[in-house]
Amino acid sequence: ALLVPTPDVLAAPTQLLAANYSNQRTASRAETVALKDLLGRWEKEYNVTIFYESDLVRNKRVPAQADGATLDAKMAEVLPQAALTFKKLRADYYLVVENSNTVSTAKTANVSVADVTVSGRVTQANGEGLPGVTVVVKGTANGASTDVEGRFSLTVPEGSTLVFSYVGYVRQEVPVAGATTALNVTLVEDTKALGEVVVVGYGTLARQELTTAVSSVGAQQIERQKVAGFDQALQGQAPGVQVTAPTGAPGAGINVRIRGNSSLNSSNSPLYVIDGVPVLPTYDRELSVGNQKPNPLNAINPADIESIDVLKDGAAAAIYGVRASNGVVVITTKRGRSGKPQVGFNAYYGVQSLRKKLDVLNSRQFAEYYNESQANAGAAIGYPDLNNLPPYDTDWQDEVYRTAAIQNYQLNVSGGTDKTHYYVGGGYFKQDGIILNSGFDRFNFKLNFDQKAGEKFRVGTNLNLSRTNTNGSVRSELGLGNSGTVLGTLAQIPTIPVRDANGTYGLNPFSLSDNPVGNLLESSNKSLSYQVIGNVFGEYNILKNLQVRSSIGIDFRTQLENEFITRNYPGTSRADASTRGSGRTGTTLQNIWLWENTVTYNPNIGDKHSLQLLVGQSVQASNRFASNASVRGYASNAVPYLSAGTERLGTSSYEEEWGLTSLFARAIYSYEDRYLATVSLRQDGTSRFDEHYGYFPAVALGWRISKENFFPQNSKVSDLKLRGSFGSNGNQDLSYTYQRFSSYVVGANYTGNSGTVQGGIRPDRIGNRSLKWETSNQYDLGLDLGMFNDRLTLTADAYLKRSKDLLLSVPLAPSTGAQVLDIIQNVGSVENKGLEFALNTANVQGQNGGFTWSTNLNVSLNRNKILDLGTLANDEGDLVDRTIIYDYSISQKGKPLGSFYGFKTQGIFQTQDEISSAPTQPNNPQPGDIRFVDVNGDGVINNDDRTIIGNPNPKAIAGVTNTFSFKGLDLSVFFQGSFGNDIYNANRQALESLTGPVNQLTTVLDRWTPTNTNTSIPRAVYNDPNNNGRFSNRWIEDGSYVRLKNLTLGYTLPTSIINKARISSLRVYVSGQNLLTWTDYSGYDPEVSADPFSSTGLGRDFGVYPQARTYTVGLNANF
Amino acid sequence: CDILDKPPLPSISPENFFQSADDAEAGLTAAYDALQGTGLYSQDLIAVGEMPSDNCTSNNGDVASLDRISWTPTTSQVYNIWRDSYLGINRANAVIRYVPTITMDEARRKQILGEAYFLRALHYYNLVKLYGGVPLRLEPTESGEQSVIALPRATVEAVYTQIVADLTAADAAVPASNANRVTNGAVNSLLAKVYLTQRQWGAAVTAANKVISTGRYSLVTNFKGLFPAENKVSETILEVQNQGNADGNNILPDLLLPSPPATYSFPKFNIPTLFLSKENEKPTDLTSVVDTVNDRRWSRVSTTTVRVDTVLYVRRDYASFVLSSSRSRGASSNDLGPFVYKWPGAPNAFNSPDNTYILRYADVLLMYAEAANEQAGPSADVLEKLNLVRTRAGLAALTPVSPQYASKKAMRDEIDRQRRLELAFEGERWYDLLRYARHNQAEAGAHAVTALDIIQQRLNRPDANYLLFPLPQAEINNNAQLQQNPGY
Repeated sequence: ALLVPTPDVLAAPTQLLAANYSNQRTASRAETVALKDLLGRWEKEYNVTIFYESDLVRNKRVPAQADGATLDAKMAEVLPQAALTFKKLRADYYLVVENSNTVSTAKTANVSVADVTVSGRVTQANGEGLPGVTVVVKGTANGASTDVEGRFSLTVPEGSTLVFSYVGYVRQEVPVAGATTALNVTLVEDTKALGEVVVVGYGTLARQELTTAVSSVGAQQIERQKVAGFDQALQGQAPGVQVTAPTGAPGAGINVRIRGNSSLNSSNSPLYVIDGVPVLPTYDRELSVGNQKPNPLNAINPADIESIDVLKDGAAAAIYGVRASNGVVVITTKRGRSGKPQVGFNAYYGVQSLRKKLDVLNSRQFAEYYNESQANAGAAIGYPDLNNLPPYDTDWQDEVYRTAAIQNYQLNVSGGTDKTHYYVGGGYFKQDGIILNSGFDRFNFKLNFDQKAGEKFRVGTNLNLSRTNTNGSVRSELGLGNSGTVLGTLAQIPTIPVRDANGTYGLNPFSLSDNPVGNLLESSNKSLSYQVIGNVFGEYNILKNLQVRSSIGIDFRTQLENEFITRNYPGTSRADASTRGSGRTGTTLQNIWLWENTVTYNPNIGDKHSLQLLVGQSVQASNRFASNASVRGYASNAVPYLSAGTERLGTSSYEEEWGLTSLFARAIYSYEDRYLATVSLRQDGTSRFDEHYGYFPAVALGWRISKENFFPQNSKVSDLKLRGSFGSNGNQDLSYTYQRFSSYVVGANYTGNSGTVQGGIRPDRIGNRSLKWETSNQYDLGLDLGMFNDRLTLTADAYLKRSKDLLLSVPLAPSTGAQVLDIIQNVGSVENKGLEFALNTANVQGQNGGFTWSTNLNVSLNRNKILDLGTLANDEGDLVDRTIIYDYSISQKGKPLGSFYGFKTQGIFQTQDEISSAPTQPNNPQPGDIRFVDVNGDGVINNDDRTIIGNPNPKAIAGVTNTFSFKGLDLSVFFQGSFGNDIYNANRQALESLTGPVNQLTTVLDRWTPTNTNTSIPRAVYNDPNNNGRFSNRWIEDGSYVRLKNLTLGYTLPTSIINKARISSLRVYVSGQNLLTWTDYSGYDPEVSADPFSSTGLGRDFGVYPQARTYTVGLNANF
Repeated sequence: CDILDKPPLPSISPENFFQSADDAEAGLTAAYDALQGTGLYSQDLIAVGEMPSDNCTSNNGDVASLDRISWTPTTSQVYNIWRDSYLGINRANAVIRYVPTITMDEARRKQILGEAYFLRALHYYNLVKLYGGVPLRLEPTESGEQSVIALPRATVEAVYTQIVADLTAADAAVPASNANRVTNGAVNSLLAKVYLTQRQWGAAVTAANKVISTGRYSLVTNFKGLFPAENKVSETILEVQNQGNADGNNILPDLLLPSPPATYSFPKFNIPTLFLSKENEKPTDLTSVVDTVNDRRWSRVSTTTVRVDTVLYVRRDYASFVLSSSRSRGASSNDLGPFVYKWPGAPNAFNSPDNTYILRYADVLLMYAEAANEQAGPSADVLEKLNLVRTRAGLAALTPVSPQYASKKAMRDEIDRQRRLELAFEGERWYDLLRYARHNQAEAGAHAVTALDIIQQRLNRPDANYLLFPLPQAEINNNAQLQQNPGY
């Protein structure tokens, strides 16, 4: 049996045109039969669907062949006689296509030649045998297919050519020189073909039928990267999908943005649909330190994923309604194939290290700088004798960073019969962090199973269980004064030791700052999660073309967090002894269940028309309970639990629930495969708003120009399609589920008449019961082009997305009496527009293990702009456009989200005269201080002189992957980059501030002094009276980069060697991640964000855990 | 459908609150708690009552802008008083809106509502005298509708009408005795103050007399014994109950007294003008009105011992002064100068448990005297009330034959003076001066000093616009229904 893995989302097998089956009759070998009838008969006989474009099959007759053992063999025998061939897209889904290389039916050469027997094995690039490959003698119907180990044997005329073809792989032709038993062929995956079936949400569609913008990423692309989660592996693989690892912290959340940010206060995260279960990841922590959060998507082992389909445009996403406005990522996991059990074992081990160190001052340089800064402020100097400095020169980066291991082991067993398919996998992944006391590990278990019960009924399950452990002890996104690890490591001074001779942690004698090494060694903050994501389903075929499906899904998570800070923690060493040592614990229990029912119907409405209908209903409800408690004052470090603490600091628990009821319908229609149309509508009822029900329509049209009669048939253009779509999506995801309700809180206590305090409850926040979802309306215009028989494919899209009724936090007038003086209102709109290109080329297609080279390139450009934020009254009482100013960014009409907002600098004051003639800067600037620009020209430098000084949104992002193979070698080179984005280097703001007892970058050696005036670095002065360090364009840097993200070189061992070890295939490889980065950015890494999920605080580098460079070795074995 | 009906589980909301008698009590407690806001009796309302006046001066931050009459819509006190008053109004409104729907003891319900009416009236009175006509919000704010969150200003008259209506309702509902809480005495004392502000002398006399005639209240013998205010029941009519912790802090001691000896140091702002240099002085500083020999409320210290039975000042050049173990003069120039000792406080920063008087009996007696004098000139009745205050302070009783107080004008000046001395630094002076200035528009020269005189002195121009605060900028920006007061 030849069976291809079947993505589970089989709810709606898609048909181009279902073959009709006419009266069944027995035909003798000599007879011919209408091909159309024959295909129809096979469909019924094998319970499969065979698709073809009607004009390919029309009127053709073939011999009524029935000799093949399997349907595949029969089709391989029959179809070439009609100048056709087929592709098997799934176990029960065949696509009949033109066989451009078929010469003519059963034409035999005039010269009679001897038949020889050839046999051999067909393998994949990794050496695994490839079962079910069709091997045909070119120009004949003579052929065979390979067995489960990829072996075949054929008797063929000498001198003929064998054609090896298999769906998803590049066809190969091999001339037969003579009898042989070692005709070994390696087929290369055809990335274009892999995407031929696209998962579109509640169904699948052949790519050529697609009218919306969907990017597909296959298993190989995902597995290539040595990262914890699939979200990170998506980076650079699909146009329009911007993936940023905001931090190098193992296990942390990854920022995925599809076609830009469209919301200020709601989530900008796409909806993930994992085996049919919609998951909106909540990166919640009870015990937060810094901004990075454990990533619930890490519950999925990337090795279990078959494909990822990203629904980008409004029309594609609209079937997911009120949660779809940030796009939808559909994850399909692997399923078993019919046949002998396949055992796969994959393992890799690697080392990670800090990509680059930043240069900071040594002891002597620091002492000189610090003395100078004190002296300039008229304060006592810190190091009176520079020749007698403390005997330390601590390199804190060397003390805090380490070489860390990354390892992954995965074992899976899959297989099945024609009734049963199973895939069982288990994995262990462990990534130590490159900073002390950090890391992530995951155990996961995967079961996908389905069973046919009779001819019409099928039941199954997709189940993913995981246990993840994130060590969040590193205090990122914090400064030295707040015990921040990363910035603390850079800013702690070199003249103190990590530990002195007594073992006491060194502390900064000039300021209350911690010892970053001690902090890490004396604290522990761990988060342990168990997650279950999956469903059970049943499908019943009422008729061949009418199917009902029901599934019950679950998204369950329990997260347990524990923190313990010992008595020896340097940060509290100055605190009263009775309060040292602290413990915190937090728990989260979340259960989201889902019940979904769908009906798909593919009515037969004639040869020229194809129609696929879907209606469905879904109910989803969530409950989340969380609690936390904290204590301090541990008499001993012996017992790190709350019970051993002496002082109870706080306890809290809360619970929240939401529900969603949905109805949806979709019709996909095509006329002669030329004119394509999809319409869909989803009604979502949400518990989050009083106005429960929202309607989200979509319409998409496609025109396959290459199918028109006027289109030149012998053109180099093999496929040309124009698409256009409109879709409306919602966004309901406010951080707090109950935002619309007014609330009261306890704590407004007052002394009663008895003289004792009574508990008071006061109004707190004013709700807004008329809130509703944000709505995004998106238009997409796309082009799909295939050339040279699809060796080159280009997909281009242009889109315009307008999101309105933003759930904006708007300040309230204090006369409302609200304690919390803001309210969420549906105000304002944001626009994203852009262009996307994806180009796949098969540059060189080698035969029989020869040199093969293919390229996959994608480029995306997005432009983001705030269209409206509502109005407010200005000081004169007139209504003006609202702007919202944050710490370092601004939201303003006409500007992109997250625009940096600060001062502009204009060199350094050299003389007192210069200062006197310049606009007034308060606080008496001195020569050597920075001159700021008087933007509003009022002669005074104040907050009104702030202006937009940078844009953190990239102008373009791109990814390019080149894959090469030759004999047993394979090589893939993946570059990825971001262009035109600015980064706010807030690290440098601390490390070049020249204001106090913190270490500085070596760039400050060029600081302004009366004798060193030609510089851009101001003078050193304690406390920075001129506020030289204020947020200005001095801290804005170009964040563009190009990165060799991954390079993998593999070698598949020859079968002759490994067969002795009973291994059917074995590939070993070496791989490097983040190998080379070209950038002008001066910080650790240009891929950075201190506020990972904010749309208004993008692109700030402040104490963020740096990315690692990783080298791994690994193996893939199959038994 | 159940799936879509998800009430807010973890929060108290209008949906699940105000269901029981306990809820009613908790709502009322929160309404009282609002009095402790930074913008109200813990700090700003008192600071504004003194700092612009001729009682004190400062060089420090926003407080200095009060002193210099240079406040703007963004001055913190302008914002805080407005915000905290409306917080209190909203809490009272919640009680008034929901308590009638609760099944509970009828008498208790009535009393709770009465206390809430009083508190609402008190907040509106504070607002109207500082800002003029303000938005009149009589329902708890629970919706984002523009018609709810952006109210226009009501007229001054409408606000006063509401205040009188609320106090009238309160008077019928609250008891005569109600420790730490609102009584008929408090209601009528506030009513007297409201009528006095509106120059309704007869009504003010009637209201004040309702308090006096109960016989419940009397002046404590020893003036020093009044401070700190700790429910001295004979003179207390209403105090803000502070606890010195999260359940109520009085910030004033830390602003009025020298730094505690620890590292903590806060520049004080409330410095009496007695010994300040001329440039900072205001038209009539306290020296000109104090009988420093006899007046027990005031003591000028010139030796190394301190008479701590007084409540006001010590000399700025007095080097080794020690008030208590926790309060002594530091080295900072901020610690120089005389200071107020009405809130001796505790040295834990901003956490004083000292109560603050909202209304006390001496105030009522002086209001009675003022209204009765305006109504009918100096009378035995007026003298009787005034003398109660004078004699307790150690001053001689005035007699009907004292020639210098025979005229209404002379008596008015003496009553003004006694109000200033008796209630100094309790947050009354500037409001009195404002009231006199508003009188002045009708009756020029009726008072020796009015707010207009201070404005003239500080700004070098007679700018009546400064008799009203501006509306805070945050209100103007977010409520398009409002017009800023003229001049700002």
